[in-house]
Amino acid sequence: MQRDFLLDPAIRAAWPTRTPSRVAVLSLLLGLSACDEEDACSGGEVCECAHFDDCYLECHDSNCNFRVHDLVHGGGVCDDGCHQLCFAVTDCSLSCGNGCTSEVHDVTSSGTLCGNGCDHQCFGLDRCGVVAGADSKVHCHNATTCDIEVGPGSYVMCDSVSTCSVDCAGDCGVHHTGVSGSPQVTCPSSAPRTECSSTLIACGGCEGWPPP
Amino acid sequence: MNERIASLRTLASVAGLSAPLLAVAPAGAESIIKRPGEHPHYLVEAEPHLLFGWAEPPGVDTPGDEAYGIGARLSIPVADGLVHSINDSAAIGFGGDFLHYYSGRHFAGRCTRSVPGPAGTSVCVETTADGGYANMLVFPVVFQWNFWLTDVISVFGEPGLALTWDKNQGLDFSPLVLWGGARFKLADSVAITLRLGIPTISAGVSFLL
Repeated sequence: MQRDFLLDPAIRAAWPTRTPSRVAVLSLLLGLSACDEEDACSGGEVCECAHFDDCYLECHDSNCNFRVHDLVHGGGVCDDGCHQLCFAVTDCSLSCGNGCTSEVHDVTSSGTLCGNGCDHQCFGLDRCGVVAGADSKVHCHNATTCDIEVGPGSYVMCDSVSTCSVDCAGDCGVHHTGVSGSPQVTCPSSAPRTECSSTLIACGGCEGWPPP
Repeated sequence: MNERIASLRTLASVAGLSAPLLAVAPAGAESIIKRPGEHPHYLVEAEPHLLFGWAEPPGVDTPGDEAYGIGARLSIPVADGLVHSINDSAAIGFGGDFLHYYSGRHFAGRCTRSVPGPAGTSVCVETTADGGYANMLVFPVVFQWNFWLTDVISVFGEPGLALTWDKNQGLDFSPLVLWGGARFKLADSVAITLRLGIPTISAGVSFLL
């Protein structure tokens, strides 16, 4: 899994590493055998987490699919190609690899760390914080605060939000409508900020936004 | 919620199937309910059983909605004739049940490490749900009140409490577990035992030793 999109060293240091499974040992203790793999939260199946106070899912497979709802704190940790739907949660979180898709709505806060090619949508919430890698797409709407850090080639949409803050690590486009004031878009010196139109700010050139 | 409704339907079905067993005594069975003390006397009842878990005991978050499993109960007689006019007895039961959850919220874990994210958010990056299973251990302690209806059938009620453990939620305590059940005598000291309640339904074989 590529992790160089993690700009913050603290976040980089804290990135999850797989821990050795204790399943085999516990299975032996319980007199069971060979039920760990088939019972794991694996790719392709929906792993649901609901009606707890706190509930977190973890899946180390491709195409993991989390459904997280009706919790106080909840979320998922997964690898590439993961999908998460999170709603009716006070604090929702997602930590995933490349090519993740996620949708968050009707929560208080949502924090997301995802890799390259991330496609994240958050709406109907107070705070949406996203750190995404290159070539990602983030859509934050009907929110109080959208605070988004993205890698090069990413496209961010802020619609009907009070505060939209976008930190681009390279070329990127920021589409905005209904943002109180103006979006705060931070660009690197190699891709200076450009006001392309009344609804589009880019780091680097204005061409190519929105991406096909 | 649908899973819970399905579980309730399952419970109702089992109860429905069991009721005739309780209501219709074998043709040759002789009523002994009004003969205090006329029942098997034993030091301990050992009962291995198969389980279906369908409900959460109060105070415990089960790691799933429905489960199957195995377990055993040891019941030690402590009193005879709590009601003097009928054939009843009491025992203290100690159980150990293993439940494997196959539907619902399995894989649920706790967050063991999180990092700060933008906008004052927190992102969990490591959990206890490391691709494991969804199993739970239940250790009930119950007061078993037996009513010896015929020389073949006895019924009992079992209120009690339980300790539970699963790897994600850890040790938990339920102040109330409750079963009702029946024994169907097969031989002098062997019976089929059916038990319905919260959190499980069970079917086992009792050995009155």
